[in-house]
Amino acid sequence: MLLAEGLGLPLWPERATDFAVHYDWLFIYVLAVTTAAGLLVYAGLIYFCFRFAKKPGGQQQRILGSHKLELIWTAIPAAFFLSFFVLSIPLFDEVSHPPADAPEIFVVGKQWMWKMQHPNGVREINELHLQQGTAVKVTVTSEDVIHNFGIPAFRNKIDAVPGRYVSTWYRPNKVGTYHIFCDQYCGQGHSQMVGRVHVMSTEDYTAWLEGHKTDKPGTPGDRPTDGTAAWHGQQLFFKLQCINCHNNIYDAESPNSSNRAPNLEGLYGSIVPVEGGRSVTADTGYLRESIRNPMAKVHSGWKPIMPAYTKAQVSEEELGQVVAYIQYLKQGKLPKRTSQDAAPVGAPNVPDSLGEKTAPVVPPPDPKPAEPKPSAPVDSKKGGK
Amino acid sequence: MATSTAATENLTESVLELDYTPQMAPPVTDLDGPPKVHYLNHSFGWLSWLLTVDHKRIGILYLIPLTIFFMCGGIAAGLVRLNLIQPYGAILELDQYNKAFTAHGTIMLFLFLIPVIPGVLGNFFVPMMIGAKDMAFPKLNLASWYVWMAGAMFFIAALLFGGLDTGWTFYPPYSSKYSHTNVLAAGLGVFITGFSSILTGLNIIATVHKMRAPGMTWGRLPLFVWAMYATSIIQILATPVLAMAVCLLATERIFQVGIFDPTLGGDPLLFQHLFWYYSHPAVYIMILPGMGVINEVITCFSRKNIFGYKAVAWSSVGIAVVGFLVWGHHMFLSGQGIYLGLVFSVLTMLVAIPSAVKVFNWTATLYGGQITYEAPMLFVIGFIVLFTIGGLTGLFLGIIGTDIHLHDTYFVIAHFHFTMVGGMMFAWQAGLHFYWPKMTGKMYSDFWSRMAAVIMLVGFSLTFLPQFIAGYHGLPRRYPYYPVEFQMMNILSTAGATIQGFGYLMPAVYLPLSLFFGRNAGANPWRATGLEWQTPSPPTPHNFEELPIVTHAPYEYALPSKYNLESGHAYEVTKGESGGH
Repeated sequence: MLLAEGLGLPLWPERATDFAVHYDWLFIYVLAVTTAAGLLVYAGLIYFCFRFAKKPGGQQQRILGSHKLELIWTAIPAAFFLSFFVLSIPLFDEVSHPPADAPEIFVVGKQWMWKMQHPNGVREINELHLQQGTAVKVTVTSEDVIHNFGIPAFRNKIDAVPGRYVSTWYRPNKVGTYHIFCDQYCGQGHSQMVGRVHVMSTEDYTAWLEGHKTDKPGTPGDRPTDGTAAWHGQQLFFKLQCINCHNNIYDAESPNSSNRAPNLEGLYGSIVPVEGGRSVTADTGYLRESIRNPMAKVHSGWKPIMPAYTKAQVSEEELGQVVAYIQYLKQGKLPKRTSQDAAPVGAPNVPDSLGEKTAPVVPPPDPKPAEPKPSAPVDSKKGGK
Repeated sequence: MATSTAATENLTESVLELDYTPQMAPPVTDLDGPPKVHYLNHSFGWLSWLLTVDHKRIGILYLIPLTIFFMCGGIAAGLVRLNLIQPYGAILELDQYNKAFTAHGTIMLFLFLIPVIPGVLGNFFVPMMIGAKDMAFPKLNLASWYVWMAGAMFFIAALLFGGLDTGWTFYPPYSSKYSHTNVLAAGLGVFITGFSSILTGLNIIATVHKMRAPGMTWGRLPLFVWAMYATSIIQILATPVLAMAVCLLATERIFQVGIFDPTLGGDPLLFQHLFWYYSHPAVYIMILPGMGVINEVITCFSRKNIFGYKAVAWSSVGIAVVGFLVWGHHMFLSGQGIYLGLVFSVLTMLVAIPSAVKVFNWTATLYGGQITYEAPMLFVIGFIVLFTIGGLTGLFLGIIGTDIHLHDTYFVIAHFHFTMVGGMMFAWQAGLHFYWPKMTGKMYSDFWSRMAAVIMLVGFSLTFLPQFIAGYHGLPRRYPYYPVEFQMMNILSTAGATIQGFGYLMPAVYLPLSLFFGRNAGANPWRATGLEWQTPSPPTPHNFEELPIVTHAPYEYALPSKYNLESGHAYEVTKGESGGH
């Protein structure tokens, strides 16, 4: 490592999270043990090579082996190897379980860039601004091939697998700018799929956020703050006509009522009984799967009538927004539509629709293909939460 | 220990007139030239080679293309290393770089490391070591060479005409949907060579079971045979899974059937499971035969019994078995599940133990020996030095906690090359140099072969030690462009690779030269005990004139025998007479 310093690299790579420090301790422990073991072998090798080099008239001994020695050098390495494993469990546990209250940043990899979306709606490409001392949960997925979202200074790395959500988390504690690498080979531009993570002090971070704010006041209470991921999700929830079936209207006469599909309020995190007698926790992965491939796990008691939404209809990024919205939907949060919200197409009980469209009704209409992007430009999102 | 001492006393009485196989004709002496008729000259012409069913000739048939493939893979590696001396690429475009590293990885793994020792030394020496005249199925043996050549040619053609840019791991959906290169053709090549691997494995297992000479019990098998046996088991059980994975990949690519691509309803992790179910055991297919060679060489040059024969033999089998259960350690970060990851991690710790046991046993074998340092022994020492590092750094990657940061960085590259080049390549060189006099009847240059061993060791270390540091600092693998702070590390690596390249070129010069200018090696230039050394060099067409009868465990160098009563190796004795240069 001393060698490294003279050759353009720092003596020891930067550590910008507590996890990185924990990681390095385990690394140093394993390094110490393996170095000692390696030196032991080398010492034996060198000593024997000189001591038992051929001498004129020398006679070799006839040694067949020793059970005692075999046992010793099986048991001692085994004990050390197991100690490595045991010590690494808490480390892996730490990295796999984000704090419950950590805000979630949604990262989508695509050939060849990283798109980040903060919970407050700020979106970035290949740049990630984080606040010092604040834990964030990072959920990663991919639009196309497998990528890997790695930040060496955080000693953290996670595969971005298409069709899956995988989560990790960071609590950066050191202000600075660090590399983001794509670590999983993803094609021609693999080595350009890099970025920077900026860890900022609270003041700097607030100032940075200010730059991304608009004047538009958020509406507290019954709807997500403007510009947040959940807010975008809500727009999509109307636009894709999810609300036609997933609502809180119980009217046996109306085709557009929740008699056709579960009300999603409070769904996130609950236990869902599925057809076949099993039950699953409604986590982000389940939500995602139920939109992309609704037949995979059908909520028991409901007819399997939900159409699948392919990537042509809902991009990974938009899907993340819808999922964020469903997470937001606590009991009673499902909106009464007002003029502030995008007009739901063919939604039931339209009180003051913005004059939008004729109502396609039963069966649940096919979503309009593509182009469902919310109109607001990237830099005019409402920040702060 | 007590029992072994008693055994020694028993044996010493009867040993004086004992040669290893007392019923054979008196062994040829070293001063004899090659026999009048041997396997190389008993028939001539292309057809006599292309239609041969002689396991020795088939071994040579493997040797020649394997050497060419190694050079192809080496040239690709050279391009990669040369490109990396500048942070934005010195010579190659991005997609050229991707094709170059894929060519390097796939050629070296599928067309060199997997077949090299089983194909050459396995074919040539397994029958001779167990006292057989040929493999159990000589025609199948030739067929498996043809299958392999067909697959290899297909593969090389796919690389030459269009190339392949998926990396040797072929991960979908990149390989099934996004790559515009010859995935199908290359996959078909891998698919075909896989059959050769299965057939060779089958043949070796049958040979070991059925063709052993009288007295050649399982406990007397040379450890190279044990290693080949373990390797063959893996080849038979694991290779079909690779074939399945490749077939499914092709199905998806051609017919758009959703198997791995999530947009079609598939699961990309399924491919990784199938691929590593083969490819992790495959690294043991690569290294186990190398470990086998080490046993033969280290005992011979330290004039010792192997320390702990049973431990070494069973550790080969242990590696083969447990090696099937650890594939998931390549997928810790892919979201395969926390508990699954933990299970694979602890199993990986288990599979590390037999490898450690082997290293300890080899080192202990040197104790109390009379060690000489000809080229094969220098390669073995290089092997132990490098494989120790390779094995220990593997722990960092197998421990689920430490893998998080090191996954897919240069640390992995360095670890893998330490085991595969530092381990397997050095073992192959050791084996090639050890058995060259037996295979050709000629002795190569002592000086240049020792120089080659030293140069390879120095070049190798300079290439790959800096990569551990770069990897810990986070440099990802397969990056043609990289942050500028990593430039010095890459320049060091490239410098080392250059030295290494010279090292590999040296045997390519002095070994062929020895065919014309080398002195006759004699039957047993190293004074080794194995049955393969009890035949003239080059061996006669049917190996043994009489059926050998085995009365000893292998590696009884410490027992007084005809050879051991003379001082030193024949090679030293006759060194002055005719230069081998």
